[in-house]
Amino acid sequence: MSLSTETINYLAGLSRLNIKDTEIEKLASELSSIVDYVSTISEIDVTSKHDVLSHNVFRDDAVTVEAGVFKVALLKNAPKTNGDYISVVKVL
Amino acid sequence: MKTLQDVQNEILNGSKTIRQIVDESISSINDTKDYNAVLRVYSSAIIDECILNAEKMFKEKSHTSLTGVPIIIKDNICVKGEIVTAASKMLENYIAPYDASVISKLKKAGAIIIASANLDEFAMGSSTENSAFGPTLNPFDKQTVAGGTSGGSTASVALGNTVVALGSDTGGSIRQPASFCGVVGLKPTYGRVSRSGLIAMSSSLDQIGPVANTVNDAFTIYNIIKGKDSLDATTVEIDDNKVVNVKKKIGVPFSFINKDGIDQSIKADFESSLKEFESLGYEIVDVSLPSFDKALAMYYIVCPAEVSSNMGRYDGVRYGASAPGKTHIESFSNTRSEFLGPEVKRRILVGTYVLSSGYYDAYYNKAEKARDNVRNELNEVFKTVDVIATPVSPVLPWKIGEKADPMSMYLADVFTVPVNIAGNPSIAIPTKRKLGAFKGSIQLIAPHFGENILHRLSTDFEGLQR
Repeated sequence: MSLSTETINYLAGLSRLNIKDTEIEKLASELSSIVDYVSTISEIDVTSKHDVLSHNVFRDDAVTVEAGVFKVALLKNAPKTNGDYISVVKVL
Repeated sequence: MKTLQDVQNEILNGSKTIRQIVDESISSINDTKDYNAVLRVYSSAIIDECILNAEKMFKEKSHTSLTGVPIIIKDNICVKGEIVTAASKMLENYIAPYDASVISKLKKAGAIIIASANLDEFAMGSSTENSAFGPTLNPFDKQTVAGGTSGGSTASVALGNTVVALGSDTGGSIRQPASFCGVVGLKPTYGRVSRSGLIAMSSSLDQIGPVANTVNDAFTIYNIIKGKDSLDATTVEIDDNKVVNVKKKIGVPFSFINKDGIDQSIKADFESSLKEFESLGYEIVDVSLPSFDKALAMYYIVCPAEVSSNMGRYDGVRYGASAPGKTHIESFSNTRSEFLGPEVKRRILVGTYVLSSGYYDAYYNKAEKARDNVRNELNEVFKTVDVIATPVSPVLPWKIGEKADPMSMYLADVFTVPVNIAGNPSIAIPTKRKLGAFKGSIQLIAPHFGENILHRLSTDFEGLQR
């Protein structure tokens, strides 16, 4: 298999996902077949010059929304609040 | 009632009030509950507001062709004050704090925003089987899938809940379910319709688009929702009222289509469709699109990569579901693991892999460069043809649960995915032929911002399907 269970665990750590021991074999198998398929990208010739079609689009550095307009709606969606603050698990 | 005009005529000639039209829609939704196309009817607050607005517009003679007409919205598009779930447990109770830009436009046009439609979780899948709230059943055969990810949107139109709906398309998610449900589905050119308020999946590929029973209705909706938006920097200002110079040529990548794995009845339907175009005076031209062979590989690198980035925001802190943990990092992992579904996790992991140090260049960087190949080949082909035609799906709607292996599901996207990779507009139109329980379908692809060409040719084709 192209992706070992070690690799899956490493990726899971990076992406903040817990993988159960009962799931890991199946996941490694599924992801390996996906990676095997997309690895065929190596067969494509690409020019070293990549046409970057996008360009920066800026907006004016100005306030567009009145302060507090979304506050109530946003706090309502927060899992845990403390007054006007969102409450989080201790970081330090 | 099949078209926008049918609905509006009943209002204009006084045979029904807007309220009655709305009630009929809601009744239809309730009567077809077992198909699980609609997730929830919106609150009376928003429906009443839309009805009042529509009544005002009719009174003031400022109504549009959408005024008073109910529309169903894929549940990954934000409607202010309403729950929007992306068909995920992660957002099961999330209330949108603002309207998506397309919703503001629909409201301004007097539409009645009536209900939200089921989808694959976070728009990842090809069948609506990945919804955390159950699959949507195919209106023609309850044992089979409605297609995805906009399966709820297309099924609800096919079931007659409404005559129009909004879906979103990242790799075929409007076109494929449209073909599975026998309706019209349009994916506009990338940048034509604002993604502000669309729950992000793969930001360089996503587009919102209409689902309808007729080509004309699809383009009516498109014309209302399109336009440059200051809230989405990837939208562009474009004049699409240019006169279309039709070459009367349709390009078909025969060698790509005739590869192994295409269902014979789909192939036969496609060939009949090409003959129909010929009867209208179109010349069918064999075109070479070798980059299409690798477009699926490009897609399943770029899409998971962007997904892994876009899904990073779901950490249980500011919104969405939340699971506890001893540390903040543990709470992120616990939240994400408990509330995100298996396909979402698969794509996050694949995306993380192709973006990780040591693999970034070989995978993501390579895929991004390879997109140029698809774009350039299409641009070259469009010098000599008006549109490119292909089938929509190589396989007919499969039985629910049949495609358990993720890779087999991905392979069903071969014809639709190259279009998103290059950003071109594309439409799926039903044909008059029956393939078992289902209707045939054809995909037409146009040059960038060539929606006018699509409109013209699909209308011509549709005329022969009556």
